[in-house]
Amino acid sequence: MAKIVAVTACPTGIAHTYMAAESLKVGAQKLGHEIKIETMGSAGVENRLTDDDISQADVVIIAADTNVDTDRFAGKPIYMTSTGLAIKDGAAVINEALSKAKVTVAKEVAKIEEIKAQRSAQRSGVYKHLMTGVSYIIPVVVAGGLCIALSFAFGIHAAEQEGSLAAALMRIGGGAAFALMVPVLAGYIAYSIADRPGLTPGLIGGMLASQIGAGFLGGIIAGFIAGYVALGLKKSIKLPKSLEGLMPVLVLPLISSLITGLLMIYVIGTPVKGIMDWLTFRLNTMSTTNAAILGLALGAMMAVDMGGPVNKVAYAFAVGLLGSNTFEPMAAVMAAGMTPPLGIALSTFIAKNKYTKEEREAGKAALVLGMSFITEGAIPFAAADPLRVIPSIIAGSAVAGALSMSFHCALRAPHGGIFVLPIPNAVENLGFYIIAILAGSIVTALLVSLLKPNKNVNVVNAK
Amino acid sequence: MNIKDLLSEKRILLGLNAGTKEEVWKALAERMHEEGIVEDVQAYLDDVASREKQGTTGVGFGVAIPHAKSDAVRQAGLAMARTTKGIDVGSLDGTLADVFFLIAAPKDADKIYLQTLSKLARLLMYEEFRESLRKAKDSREVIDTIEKMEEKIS
Repeated sequence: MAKIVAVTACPTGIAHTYMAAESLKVGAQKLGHEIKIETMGSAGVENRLTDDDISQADVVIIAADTNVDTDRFAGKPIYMTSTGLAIKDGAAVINEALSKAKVTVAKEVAKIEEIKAQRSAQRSGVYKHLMTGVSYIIPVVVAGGLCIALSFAFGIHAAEQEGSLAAALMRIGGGAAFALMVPVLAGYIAYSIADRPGLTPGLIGGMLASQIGAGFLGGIIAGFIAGYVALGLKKSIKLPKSLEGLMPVLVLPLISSLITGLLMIYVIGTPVKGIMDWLTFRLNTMSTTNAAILGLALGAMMAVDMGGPVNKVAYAFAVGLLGSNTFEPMAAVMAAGMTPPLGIALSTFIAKNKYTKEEREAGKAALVLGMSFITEGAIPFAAADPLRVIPSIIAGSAVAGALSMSFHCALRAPHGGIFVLPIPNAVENLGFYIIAILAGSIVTALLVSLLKPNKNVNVVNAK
Repeated sequence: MNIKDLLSEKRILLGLNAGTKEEVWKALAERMHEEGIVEDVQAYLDDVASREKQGTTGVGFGVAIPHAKSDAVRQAGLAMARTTKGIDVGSLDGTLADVFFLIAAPKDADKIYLQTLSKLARLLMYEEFRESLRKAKDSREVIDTIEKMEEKIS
């Protein structure tokens, strides 16, 4: 049996308001639900819903042909319909409302997927191009990183034995997949900018960056140069009609690759290699304190906008470093990206009275999303209560990032959440890594639970 | 307030032979005039017609509830008709109306007017109620049906 509250209203405020109310009442009786219906008629509001009614309701049905203010139902699932439909079949409206309003894990997960899709559709400019490149290298790096990890399963030096399976795995992962990483990054950045003509100079420029040792920074620069060069050439070169067919297969690839390639070799490659060498050297020889500070910063960045631009910059940084055999920031970033939804999920379990029934159900979805390293899983909670939730998740992620870095945890794959943990050697210092993730989640959970007001307070006072 | 108290056996016309909604209104208004509810039939009917222009009172399920507050009304009252064939009243659900409730109220009787209308609207949502109205053999039975239903939903 569900508890339902409803409001009915029509423009003249007479017949249909009451017919809809009665029809909903009959429908609820037939289905065995409890219902209270407020009628907003010409005679004024009758049977007014109290805060108590609303807080206990499973769903709010609004059957109206005029505007009904929904502020007082904030946080409740609301089902809007017309008086006409309610009059025609009250039971059907109630069934529909209950099924639509039901918060399920699958629906919550789908909602997050939608948010992610919307966000990536809204990306624009440089950020969009960079993210396109990153999104194409992630699967390459996952495949490569895990092959390397599997190779280590035979022993840390097993790959040195020529002809062994360990050597083969290392060749697939390190020799091929990781070698492709920077070219693919550059290629798809350029592709995002200039479409097909960008791909060739991008791949070539990226390969050069890789060969020079300019790493992912060099790859990013190569990608942008290649993309804008290809785009510029495509727009500026005008060939006679009869020769137009040569543009995509000869003119554009040759000129754009020459410009990009020569710039990479003579101008950009060497200084960027210097920066990359310095960066990886610093990262690999960092004191524990500095490592912890970097982890703290990366962790906070992961949480601050939950999958937004700041989060993606931290993420792209860590993914890029994988190509330079620097695996620790990746571990910190993934741990910090998992803790926001995990911590909130934990909070919905330990502080039940601070959440509505719907939020507790959404908490289960957050758990699943957190385990899968989908930071966006925290968004519904952050959006509903940003001032309490966002600082809490930043704190938890910063702790997770800092701990992961100070424990020297390393991660060879840029994604996968907890599902990557059981793969042998994917994570170094696995035990401590799990501690880092748990600690971050607990910090978030405790903070959110502490900061959130009791949901039941109002109800108790009202009684 | 009870709807049955606004009705009288004389103001219930079963088997009314009418072709348009205006004919139904007129027949009912005349009965209300005979019983001292409506003072000036024509003035009252004009007010009913102008209310109808604002939007149909055919509420669906084959029922219409024409109504008006009017200076031509002496005291609040209700009349009911069941026609021999369905009449097009522009119902929202497209049904032809064969059951009519005409509400008359003085200009200042806002409360009773709205209560009557809303209560009738509620009653009409019960299929058993509509069926009983259509099956009723005489005026007494109509009033009994209304009385029973009013008790049931109150």
